Amino acid sequence: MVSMRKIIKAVLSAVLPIIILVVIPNVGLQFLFQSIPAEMLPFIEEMIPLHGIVMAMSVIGVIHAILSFSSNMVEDWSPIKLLSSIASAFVSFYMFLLLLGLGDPSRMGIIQLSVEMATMIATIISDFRFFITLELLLLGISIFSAIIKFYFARKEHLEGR
Amino acid sequence: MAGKSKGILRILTVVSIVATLSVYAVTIVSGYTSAVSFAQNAMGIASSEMQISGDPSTGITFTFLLPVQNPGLLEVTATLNLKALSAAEEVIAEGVSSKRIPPGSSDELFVSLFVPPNEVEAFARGRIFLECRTLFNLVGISLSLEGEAPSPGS
Repeated sequence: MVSMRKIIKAVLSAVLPIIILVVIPNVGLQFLFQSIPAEMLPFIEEMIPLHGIVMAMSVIGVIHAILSFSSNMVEDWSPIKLLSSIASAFVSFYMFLLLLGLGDPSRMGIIQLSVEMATMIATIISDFRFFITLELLLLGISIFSAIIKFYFARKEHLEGR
Repeated sequence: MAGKSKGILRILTVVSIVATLSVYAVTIVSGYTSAVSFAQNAMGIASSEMQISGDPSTGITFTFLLPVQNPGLLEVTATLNLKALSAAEEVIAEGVSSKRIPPGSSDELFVSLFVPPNEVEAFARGRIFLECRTLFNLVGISLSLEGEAPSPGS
């Protein structure tokens, strides 16, 4: 029997990613499109797929919410908790790749934008690969932490039976 | 045993929180520094003028002076590279200037490039490359502008 407190905690933990990753980006995009001159929008959309990024963030937000809800509904010793925590860490990592790749996670932190102006070609390259390395480190810590927490919780649960 | 496991879990939680906060702080500070210093200096290219002297019989000298600033929070390494290229993208002449600029300071990058008389005819394109790197040169943003070769008097 799941307590009411646990259900409330699970629902609240699921609402947070929905607000951060679904509501705010969508509202922000609408606000951005209203404040940018209409003639500049195709140019911006050609370089940065804003709609695609926001859509992907919304999907990630919903996945995060489901994982967070399921993780908080079960006990610490449940394998569902372990799997939810690990999946959540991977989803966060994917979102980081998506944002640093301006909508394309396969860019792995390197973005190249080229613009042709009259007789010139301007190319901007941003190299943020080091941030991916840092995020990989965080992913490792998160997975290790989830496994250790699960191990001790499981051990305690089995000893208490 | 329960006390020991709680201790380990507590350490793990603290390490995890500290690591997460550190990574986000480093990402935000260095991302901000490279973005603002790059934006500031890339706009400087548009307002800077390239000086061209000499003629095809004696060789042509190109000089470019770019004032660079670092409005960011970390030290930035600004690099300016000028290249004279042939139609086949071969490098005819090259000049580089690089400086480390502390946060809140400014400096100048000066590059001089000499295209010898026997290479003037092959000189078809020019490339200006500006790069701003920070966090021990681990992250950065660069701009490459490539166009037809400027001629003396243009």
